[in-house]
Amino acid sequence: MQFVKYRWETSGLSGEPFLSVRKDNTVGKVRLLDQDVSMKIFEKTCIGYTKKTRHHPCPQNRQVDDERMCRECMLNDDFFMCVKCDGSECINDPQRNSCAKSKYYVYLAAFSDVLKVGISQEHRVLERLIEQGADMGAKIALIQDGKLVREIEQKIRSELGIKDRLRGIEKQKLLFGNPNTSAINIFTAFAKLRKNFGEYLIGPEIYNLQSIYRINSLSEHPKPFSLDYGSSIEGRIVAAKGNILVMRNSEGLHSFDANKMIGFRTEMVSA
Amino acid sequence: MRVIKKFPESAGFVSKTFDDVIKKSGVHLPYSLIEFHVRDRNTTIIEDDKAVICIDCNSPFIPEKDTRALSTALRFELFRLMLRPDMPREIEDVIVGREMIKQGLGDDLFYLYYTMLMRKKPVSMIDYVHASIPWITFRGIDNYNSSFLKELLAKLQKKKFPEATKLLNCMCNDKFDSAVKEYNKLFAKKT
Repeated sequence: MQFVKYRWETSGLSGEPFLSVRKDNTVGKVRLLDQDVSMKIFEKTCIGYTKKTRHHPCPQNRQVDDERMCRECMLNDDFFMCVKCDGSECINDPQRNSCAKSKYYVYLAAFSDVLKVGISQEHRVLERLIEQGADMGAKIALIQDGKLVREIEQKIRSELGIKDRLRGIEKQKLLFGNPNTSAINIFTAFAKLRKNFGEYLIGPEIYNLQSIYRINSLSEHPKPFSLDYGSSIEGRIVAAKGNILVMRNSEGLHSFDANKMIGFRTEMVSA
Repeated sequence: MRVIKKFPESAGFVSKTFDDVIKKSGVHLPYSLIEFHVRDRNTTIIEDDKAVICIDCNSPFIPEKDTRALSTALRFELFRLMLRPDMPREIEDVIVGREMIKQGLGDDLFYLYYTMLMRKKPVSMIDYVHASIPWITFRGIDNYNSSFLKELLAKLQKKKFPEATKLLNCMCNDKFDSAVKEYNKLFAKKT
């Protein structure tokens, strides 16, 4: 059995995370919240690639280290050439046409006192904010053309001096976000952007996402732990903030990055 | 050995990374002075026992604070100082890169090259030679990564430059003196 995907299924401002696992050639969904899980982590293998909207398993079933995909599957994947896109030059010609026609939101996501800028396809912006675990998020611009929106994203990042990426370990430290700080940071940043980005901005829609994650029910800060070959996980999943899962067991509360599970083979997932 | 750093205040991240790299480099550097600059292009100048390393302030690694890529790029220049190949920069890159892989730094070098290739398409012949250096460097030492980098280049660049084939072949076969001659034929300024 292999973990192949972690995603939130959302409906407006509510949602729940699931893990997708592949066994033989079928993919199943594992509920996490309020479930007792017991699993042992084995080697990590390539999760395969996507071509023409269809997912294909890795033909070689190759073992990988830090990556999710082996080199061969990277080259076969339709969107692999987009991963480093910053809007300066498109290197993925086959996808350029649909990318140019699509609409994307630029959003600000606040993780306690840390602010980040990002982009999302128009139809999944709320899901994007939730799957990242933002305390608050704001849609600030709606732009057609993926290349242009990446360029604007980078300019906003530079103008505000903020990040466009936040690592799992940083998110684990920021689990208990202060909503007031988050709100102030978003308002201040938006006001600052009015001068140079006015032509792209929309009236911001701001969302407080904290209630979705159940973090407020935790009595203490969970201890972070990292998943690796040979790790075991046993306990009840009591909260989830984006990609960070919080588990309670006899030793207390622990947090780990669910995205890091992708690709690992596992012996058992029990509920 | 003295180290002098000259860079704008905004390049503090680069300076800190340079300090970390030079402390942990483990590279033998027989120089009385190394100057480190953040300027408008990547260059390394060696004059007797003095050396100057210039890192391009427009490198995407700097605003992105990509420590791994920047550390590797800096370590690469320290290896260049150690080996002193004294050839055109592109040919030196292959010699230096191969030495880094042999010293166990192949993963970092692969990351650097992969990150650089994924930025832009090669347009001119010199761009094409630049973009070929990654797969040539890994060829024969780590063929898995070499073939990935070669296929990645093929995806980026449909146009071939057959004039450059001899130069690339010489570098592939470690015939660096012949590579210098081919390089000069292709790129030496005509007076």
